[in-house]
Amino acid sequence: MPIPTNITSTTAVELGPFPNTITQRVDSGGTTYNVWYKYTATFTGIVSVFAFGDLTVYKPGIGILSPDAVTVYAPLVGFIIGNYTTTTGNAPVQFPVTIGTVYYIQVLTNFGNPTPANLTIKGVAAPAPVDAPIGSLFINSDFAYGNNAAPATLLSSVSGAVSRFLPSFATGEAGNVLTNGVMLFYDLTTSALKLYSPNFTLAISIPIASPLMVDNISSNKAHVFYVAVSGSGGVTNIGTVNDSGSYTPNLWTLPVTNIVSLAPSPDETILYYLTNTGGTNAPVKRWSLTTNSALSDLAPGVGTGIIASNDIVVLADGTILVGYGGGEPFGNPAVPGMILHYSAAGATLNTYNLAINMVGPAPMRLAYAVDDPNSFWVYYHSGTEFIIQAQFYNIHVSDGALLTSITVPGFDGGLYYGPISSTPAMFGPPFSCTMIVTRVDVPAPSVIKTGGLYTIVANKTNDTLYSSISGDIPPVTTSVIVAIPNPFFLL
Amino acid sequence: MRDHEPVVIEEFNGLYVRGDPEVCPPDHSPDLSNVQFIQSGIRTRDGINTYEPYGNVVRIYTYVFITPTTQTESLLILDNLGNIYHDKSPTPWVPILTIAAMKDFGFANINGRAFINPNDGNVGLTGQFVYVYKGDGTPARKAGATPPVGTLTLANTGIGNMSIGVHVFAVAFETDTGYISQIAGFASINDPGGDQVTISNIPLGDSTVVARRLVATVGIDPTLFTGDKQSQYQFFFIPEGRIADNTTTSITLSFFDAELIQDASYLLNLFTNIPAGVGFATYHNRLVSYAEFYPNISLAYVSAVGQPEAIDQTSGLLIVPLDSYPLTNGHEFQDVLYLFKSTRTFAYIDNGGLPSTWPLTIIDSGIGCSLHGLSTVLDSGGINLLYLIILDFSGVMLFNGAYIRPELSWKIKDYWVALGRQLFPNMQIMNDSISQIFYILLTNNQIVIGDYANGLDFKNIRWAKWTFGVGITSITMINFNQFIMGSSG
Repeated sequence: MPIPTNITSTTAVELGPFPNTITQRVDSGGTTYNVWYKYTATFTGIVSVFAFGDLTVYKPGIGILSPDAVTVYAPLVGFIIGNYTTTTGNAPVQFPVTIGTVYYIQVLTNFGNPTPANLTIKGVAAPAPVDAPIGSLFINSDFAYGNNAAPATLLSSVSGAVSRFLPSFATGEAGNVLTNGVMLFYDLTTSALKLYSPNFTLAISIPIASPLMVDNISSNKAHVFYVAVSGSGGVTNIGTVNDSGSYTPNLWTLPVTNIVSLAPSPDETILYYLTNTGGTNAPVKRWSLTTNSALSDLAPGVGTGIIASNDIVVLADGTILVGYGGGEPFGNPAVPGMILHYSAAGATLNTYNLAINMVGPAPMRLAYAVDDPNSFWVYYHSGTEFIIQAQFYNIHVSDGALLTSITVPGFDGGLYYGPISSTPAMFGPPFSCTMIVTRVDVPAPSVIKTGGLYTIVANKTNDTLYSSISGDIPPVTTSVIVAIPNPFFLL
Repeated sequence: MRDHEPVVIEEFNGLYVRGDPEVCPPDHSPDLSNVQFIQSGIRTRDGINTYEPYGNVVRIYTYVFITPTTQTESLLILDNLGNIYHDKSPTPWVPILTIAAMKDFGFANINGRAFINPNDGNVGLTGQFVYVYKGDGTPARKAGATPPVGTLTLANTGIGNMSIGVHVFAVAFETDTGYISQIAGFASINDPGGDQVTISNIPLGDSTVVARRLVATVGIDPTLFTGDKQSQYQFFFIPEGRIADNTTTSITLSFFDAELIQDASYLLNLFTNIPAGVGFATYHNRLVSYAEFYPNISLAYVSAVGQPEAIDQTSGLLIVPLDSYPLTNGHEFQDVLYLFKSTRTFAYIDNGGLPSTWPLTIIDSGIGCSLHGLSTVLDSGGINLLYLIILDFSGVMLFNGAYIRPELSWKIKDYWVALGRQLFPNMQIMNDSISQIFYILLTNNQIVIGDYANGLDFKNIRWAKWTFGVGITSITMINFNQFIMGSSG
């Protein structure tokens, strides 16, 4: 076999336009080569590239570099130029693209000059957005990787399929939703609270000046968000943001730091909260919102080594859910996880043990369901160090029955972490962070026909027009097929 | 029905919009769209497909650029933000030129280089200039160049061939597009004869300069030398006077006066940069730029032969009768340069002298041509040998030195005259001579086709309207007759 010609970025082979698949033998004379491809984006949106060899010998990894051939763009974990790691082998990478920008794709061979090395590399664009009915699951991107490689994602609460990506949504660990669909997230990228309308349009941005930062956000579910802000004097100030975007800071001052989760009681007289001060075994604490003073703990910690979830969910009936487990360093063995259901008096009403153990490092996330207080949602990760799945459970409160169980591969920093396969999922949610359950239908963005260059094709029986998707920022450029206007329609 | 005689239509002959619909011939239709003609019939037009995702397209041109090994057809695309893209450049999504106020541009393709005339859709863009683009993705730059700065230093050195008398020397820049700038750096030396001249302090240019060209006069009797180095004497290119770099600052030359043959006097009064016009024509291997911004809207600038960037500021002018209407179009046809206004047609003939001396003939004071209303053939940018096809307010006209009546669009006259005149500058016509179809982009973002497979005359041409789900703003042809449409959505 001849030596591949595309062994430098300057000889990279164009992979686009998508969808496209190219096969190539990349070993020659006992040496298996790293090879280069590139994709010149023909639209703005999300794409995924998958380099596959075989399941036993040749297991290529890929990295995306842009705007030049030396700047790593995705995945933002496990990839160094020219440095193969097992985490990247035979795994797709999803990433946002901007029309006209060139994305270089370095395909790295695994060690030992595997032979034969038959590479199959394919690129696809994310499917067109679809309707996301009330009750859909929404995961935003965490700060470390940002939207650059792991855009916020709306998932079907039935199948876990991606309904839509939202590449410009706030990144971070803190967010919540009201029953009217209004959302508030803390964007670590811009250090601002961001209020979104139910259709995910940014309404208001509220700067949070450094050194202050938002630890977490909860709500009364009706019209008010509760925002925990730390970074000043060893205390945490609790403020509110209403659904019109009016921010009232420092309404309550708690003599603690590192609040990981909080939630008000339905009558808004008590604030339940958890801190990670002191590590694990944290009790569920209470604070009087009427007297601005500490109350007795609701419940003690559940044991050393077990951390609490990043959410407390107060159900509509006033009972409280707290998750425990997870948070171990990346690569540690999976551990059991559970959710405890407390009465307002602190009695344990139910214990829901997770069917599949948790794997770190992300802690468990909880969210109230559309049928609150009858059920709730939990989101965590399962698997092993290199095969990590996102688990979503909808759990019936009264008996712990699993109403819905969804398992989808996670995409950490854009990199697929699901089971190795020749036909893996090409798209999925980010590993982190906040999960909310949508409260209103979010229809598929409407298609708007846009400008472009067109050519006549002999014997083509319809018109293919450029289109963009309203509501997505930046707009997704795609195409739509329409009938040729009726010749007999009088103009 | 009783007594009804069936109408036998052997050939359907397309759209007919003239007079009362009742008089529409039976083999025509008063309103029919999105069909194309086949032998003895019609069928739904072919569908369109996406070609390239450049959005908000305002204007497209086919541009043939030259690489070291081939010629490549490509597109220049103007969007509504004033960006011009080159789709086959190494960086196809990076504009080669951005002028926010540019609403349209004129284009000429000469020796693989693109000449760009930024305009406002009516006349040249105020304060702007003609640009030249090399096709390699580097930004387009203003055509022309700033003349050298400084003064040459001259000295008699050694034994050589210099003739006796005063020689005046000057220098010009040669740019990477082949343009030779206005000469400067004038200096003189009184040669005793039989020596060489060492020229130093030769100015260096910017990064676009690839060579310097030295020019000189023949020996002037010192007793007659006025001391006016710049305007009194004729300059010639020195045969060995091309310095093929932008670094050397000194050279020694020796030449007989008899070797000074190639005239360089045209370099004395060139535009440093050429004011922007609305469009270009070419004529006798010269570039013609017409309709500068106000008040010079009736001016056309004519370059030196083979030097499209070299335009003399006084002798390179054609002044079309000043009637307050701007020039709109121009083309060479049967060895005559025709210039058009919206309702006027003028002709100039190269008399071998300076362009400003060319005689003018007024061809027609009632018919003219719109900004993009002169049909070019296939992807050539050129025309047919025997006729021009021109869009005028009164219709689609055949022109062979005079306008032929009835106009080609006779059958759709009522439809034509109802088009909004204020938008005529946007109308465009392309001639696919292989398929024998005209494509005419109308003012309402629709297209009318004229199928002349049965004959190019007002009776046999078959018209049809085409509509699309998006508005069409510009048309062109590439790869001979691949029809390309630009849309703003």
